[in-house]
Amino acid sequence: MTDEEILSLYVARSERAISETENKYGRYLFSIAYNILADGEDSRECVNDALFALWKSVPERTPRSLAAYAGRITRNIALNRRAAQSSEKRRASEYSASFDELAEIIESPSDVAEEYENSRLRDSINRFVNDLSERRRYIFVCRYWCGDSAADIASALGVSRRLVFRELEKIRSDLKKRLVREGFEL
Amino acid sequence: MNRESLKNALEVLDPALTDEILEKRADAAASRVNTQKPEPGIRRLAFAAAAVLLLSAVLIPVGLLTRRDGVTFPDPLPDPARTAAADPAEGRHFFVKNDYLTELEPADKYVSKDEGESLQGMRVFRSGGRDLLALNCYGVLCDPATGEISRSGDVDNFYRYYRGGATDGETVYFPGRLLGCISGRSKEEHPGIYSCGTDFSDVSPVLLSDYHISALALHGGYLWFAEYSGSRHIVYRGGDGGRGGWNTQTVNIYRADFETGEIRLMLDTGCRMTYDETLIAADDGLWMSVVYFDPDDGATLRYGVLHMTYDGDYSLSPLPDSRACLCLCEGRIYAYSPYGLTTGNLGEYPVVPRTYLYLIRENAEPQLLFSDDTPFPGAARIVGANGDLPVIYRGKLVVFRGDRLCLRNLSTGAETVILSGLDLTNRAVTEDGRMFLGIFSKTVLDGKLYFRVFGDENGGLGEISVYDGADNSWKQVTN
Repeated sequence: MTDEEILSLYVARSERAISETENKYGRYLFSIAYNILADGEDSRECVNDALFALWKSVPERTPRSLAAYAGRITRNIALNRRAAQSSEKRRASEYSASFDELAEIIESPSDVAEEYENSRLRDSINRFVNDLSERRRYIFVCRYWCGDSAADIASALGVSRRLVFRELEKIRSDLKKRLVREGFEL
Repeated sequence: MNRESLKNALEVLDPALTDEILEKRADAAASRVNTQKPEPGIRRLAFAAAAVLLLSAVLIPVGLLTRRDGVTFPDPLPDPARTAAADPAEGRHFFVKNDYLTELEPADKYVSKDEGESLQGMRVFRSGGRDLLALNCYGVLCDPATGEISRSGDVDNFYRYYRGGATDGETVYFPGRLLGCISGRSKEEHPGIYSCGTDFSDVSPVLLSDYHISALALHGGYLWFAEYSGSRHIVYRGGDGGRGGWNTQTVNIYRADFETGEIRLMLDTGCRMTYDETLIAADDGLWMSVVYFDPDDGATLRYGVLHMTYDGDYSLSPLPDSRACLCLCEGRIYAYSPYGLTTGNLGEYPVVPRTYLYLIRENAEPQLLFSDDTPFPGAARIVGANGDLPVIYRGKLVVFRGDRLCLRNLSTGAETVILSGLDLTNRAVTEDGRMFLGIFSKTVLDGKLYFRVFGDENGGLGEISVYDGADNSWKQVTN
């Protein structure tokens, strides 16, 4: 079933919309949640929450891309759930690992987190990602935004894992250079 | 900055940057369902230990490539990956239709130029993963002195001026510009890389070399090129079996950065290129067909495929045939024999009717997909005249069999006739004695199969037709 057909089911308030979305994108949404939560049960609940959120938000907001919209909702729900679990022992998830990896470029932790600086940082990273080649952008977003493993990225791109690792290394190195050049203290 | 601020910044990436990737990721996730990962430990056929290769990724002085007469790297050119979307040529498709550079859509709109000059042949090369332009299969551009288009088939011009080579990848499309290389047998012939407009005007050198530059490719905003490590004889078609011969010079692969002018030696291959002389830029690196000495005896010539990642890492895979040319179809690398259809072309080829197609995979043995030894006529053919490339259309090989155009399922061998009654026996002979065959060339654009048939025995205007597999329909685009 095409996205347009699924969305029309939402608009018609047919509950089949949910099952069709799950059929088509369930695995994808689960992988997004699982990368963040590292727990199958939590991730399944997260996907259910996301489907429910979709049901509530469409047709008021008809997304341009169902996959992207559902993925974003799932990710936000998963992040919120993880924040709520902060009092629990933190599980080692792929997302955490991926972030740790990227955070290596920051050598001296600092508590200086003024909003202005954060905003500047957001802009800088957005520009950096925008300037990446199509493939590197895909790798960056999948790894550092979705928390995908290098193996999954390699599989999706049809390249070797070694190549993905090298690309990630280059991306991190370039990001570090960019941030230093723009005056960030790392 | 601390970890938290970095994390927060990452979490609010612009949706414009993420949505498209989420869509692709959703597709990838769907395609992974029920797909087993390949077994690890596939036997690596690369002659990694061969002493014939010497990996080198050292930065060399820019001056290694001599720029004479004040020629320097040009003003920074736009990064194609960044500017392709803004370029007016984006989304337009061109064919060389005999003497015309022809824009396909809207149909029948001839956009060039220089009537009477011969631009025989159709060659499509890719930029940014899309088919963009078709050029003369010899890649002939212009005389640097006069700006005239060099006639294809004119061997003198062919070697003297701009040798784009017999396959794609050697003339590359930059937004608004074409880049081609001249082989040059000596410094006096000014080998190097030149650019011109898409109307073949405004020729200017990009860089000059003391040595033969064999092939070009664009990838990742860089220009990649292969240059012989010393002066060299012209290798006539036929390679080891034809006229001319090999010398001892081997090929280096360089990366040129348009923005900084930096030229970096990425790999001293220790190999020679086969006459294919093509550098194919794929997602996972550069590929080229090479000849090298057997590492065991140091004397026996071996043939194979060299793969270099964009970081300079490399591997070699042997091929069982000495005349392999490479092409990129639907994201995969294939090796094929161009000798199924070269009877009489330039008069320099041995007639070898055998035709074959191998799928080339990194770290795996080449897989023979198709072979036909039947002498022409009657043979199934996968290539057309003038170095036409094999075409894989929707996963099926396009073959000519008798008077039929077929799609061959490479797994089962089943062939589906999509057009019959083609006059393939009425060969055309041009004034300079070259011979062309009925179906001249073919390519795939935007999911449709285009092919061209020669029209008359003078090698005059032919027609371009298009096959749309979606509804199994044919349409003649030009006549």
